[in-house]
Amino acid sequence: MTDPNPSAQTASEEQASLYILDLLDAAERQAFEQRLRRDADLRGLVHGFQSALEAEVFAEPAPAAPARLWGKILERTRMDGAQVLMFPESLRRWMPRLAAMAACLALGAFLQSLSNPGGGWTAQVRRMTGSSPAFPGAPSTADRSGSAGVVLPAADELVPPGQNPLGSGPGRPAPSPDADAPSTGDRDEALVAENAALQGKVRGLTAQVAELSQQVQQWSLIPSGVSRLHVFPLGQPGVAALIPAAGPDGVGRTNSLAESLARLAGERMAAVLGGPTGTGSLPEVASFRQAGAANPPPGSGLLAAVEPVGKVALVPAQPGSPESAVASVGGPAAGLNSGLNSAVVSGAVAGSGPGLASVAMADPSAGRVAFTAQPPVNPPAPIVFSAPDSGIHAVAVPTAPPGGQYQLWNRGADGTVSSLGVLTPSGSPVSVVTFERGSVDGLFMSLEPVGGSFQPTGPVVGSPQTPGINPVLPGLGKP
Amino acid sequence: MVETQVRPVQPRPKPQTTLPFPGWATLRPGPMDGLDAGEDARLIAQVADGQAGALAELYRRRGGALLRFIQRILGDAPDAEEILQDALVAIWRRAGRYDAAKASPLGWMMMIARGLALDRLRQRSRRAAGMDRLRSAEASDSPAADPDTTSFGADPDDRHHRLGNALGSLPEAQRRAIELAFYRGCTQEKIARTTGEPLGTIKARIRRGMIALRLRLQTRHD
Repeated sequence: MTDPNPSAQTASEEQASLYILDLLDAAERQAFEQRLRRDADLRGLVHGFQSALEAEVFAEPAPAAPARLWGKILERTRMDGAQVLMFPESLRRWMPRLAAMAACLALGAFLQSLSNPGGGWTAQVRRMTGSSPAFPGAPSTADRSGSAGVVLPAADELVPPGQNPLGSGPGRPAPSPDADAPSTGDRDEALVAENAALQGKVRGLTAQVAELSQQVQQWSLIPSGVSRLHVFPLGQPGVAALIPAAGPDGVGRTNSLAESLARLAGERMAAVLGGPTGTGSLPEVASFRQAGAANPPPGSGLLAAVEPVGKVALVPAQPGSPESAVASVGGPAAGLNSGLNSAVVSGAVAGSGPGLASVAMADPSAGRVAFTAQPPVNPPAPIVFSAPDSGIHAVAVPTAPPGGQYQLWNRGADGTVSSLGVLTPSGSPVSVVTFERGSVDGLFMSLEPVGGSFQPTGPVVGSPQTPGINPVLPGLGKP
Repeated sequence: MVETQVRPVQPRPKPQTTLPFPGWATLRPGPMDGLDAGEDARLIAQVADGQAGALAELYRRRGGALLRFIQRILGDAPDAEEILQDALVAIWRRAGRYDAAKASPLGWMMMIARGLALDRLRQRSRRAAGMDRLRSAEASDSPAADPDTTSFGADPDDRHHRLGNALGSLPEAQRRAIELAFYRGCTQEKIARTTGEPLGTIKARIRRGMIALRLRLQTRHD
């Protein structure tokens, strides 16, 4: 594409090349980006140069990435991830900030009281009550706000302007330089009263912080099925998952089908675990299928407790090659797994913490490592609640025993089994996972040692007496 | 032993390159043309979802190239590996904000790595400059050298070793200009100062160099 005006073309090329090498200053860059928006040819030019730079870095075959770094990278990402999900998508970003803001406010209030006992809060209280704290009922002598009875929180460094997450909580008032100082004796009384008022405020703030934390806890109790659905890579987005908020069954304030199902499944499993006779077997699913409704049958005795779901963390496990080298992970812990039915037991695994598998994977000398743990005796069958029209299923299983972790697998069309991740234990007796139909047809869960395995080595969750039926999504796929 | 209901895994074909870490030895080899970025975009989307497995795959595919890139900026020091880790973690954190419409996945990752590496380079220079000033203040009146372009680049052997084949096909003048911009993060003025050429010449060289690089890319595909 030759520009009829060669010098304009040259100028464009020059600007584009400077832009791509980050050599333009801020004003030039902004001007250039505005031009970019309007000029498709210029965009093409920039794209060509950009690709040339990428080729510079990526085109030539590169040596393999060093294996020993991956373990460290994984650890650092895990540290990030650990703080993130138990909350519904929309709220999780704000909860830590709100809690932090509340804590800062409480601290700020307290420090303010220490540093500025004569003004500050006194003025605030005066504005709020229209009277001096030392002389309740007396008309305010320092009502400078001009709008009696209206409290305008002053600009607060700790809370962004316009936002006050604690609702009617006090902002930090500006120090009022002309707060009148009563005479000495009255001043002592004023200070005492002010101190009491301050302590009341701090208590109030502490209570609000506590309430926020509790809300955080409560949110964590709601199985965030929405975020769970995002985990699976092959899922169909846009499943019509929204149903009206809590219906007459009083299941709760979930507003998504996945969450409701997860809650139901969790409650039912909790009942199974806690009750004298467990009945959570597959026929329950069938009855729900026939009913076609997400509401629990009346008289089902739902428990108040709802069991949360852990975030599914992905372990980059891949099926190992049949010829495996001997693994070496410090000591007699690791063993060789040459088949799916080997019984290599590692006494060190139980209670050894979640890092063992990732350490093994980072060890460049390890070929394939597998651990097994003692499976639980007669675990209750998983309880599956499904809304078949929407294709969402919730599966509740008793949380893995110590030393064990559930791992999700997908069996592909060619029969190869790949790991989708391990279920992070949630500290509750029940774990619930929600799935989207059609996301993974060959989905199943097995109980593996903590940290996961490269291949399913432990018992597959579900009824071993019904081969041919996918224990997790019965009737939807072959195991 | 509990019997699983899983059929045994079929053995996978042996890979063409051996990868040194476990579990990945049987993965299919990377793309023949290193620039096939569709898979990378998909992986970044999965990383945004929180899937560490996708990050691992990204690392396997692009980690080596990124490390080589960072080494071109920083040299062989253990710094480079540390910055590579930082870059992967930054990719993990920022994947949610990646917009495929605005940037290509390779370019995005490259710029993240470049930013971190240049920060570290400047940090090193400041430290080195500080030490130089200290030494020269104590010793003699000789002015402290400009560390950006001398401590880590004046020695031609070191530069050659560090850069390898980077920008290999370009004429020396263009190569130098683009090298200072891309691998050193120098401003136009600094490039002009370092090479002793006027600003206009530098811009022209950069323009011609980028056109040449683009041409090299296009002829690759033919």
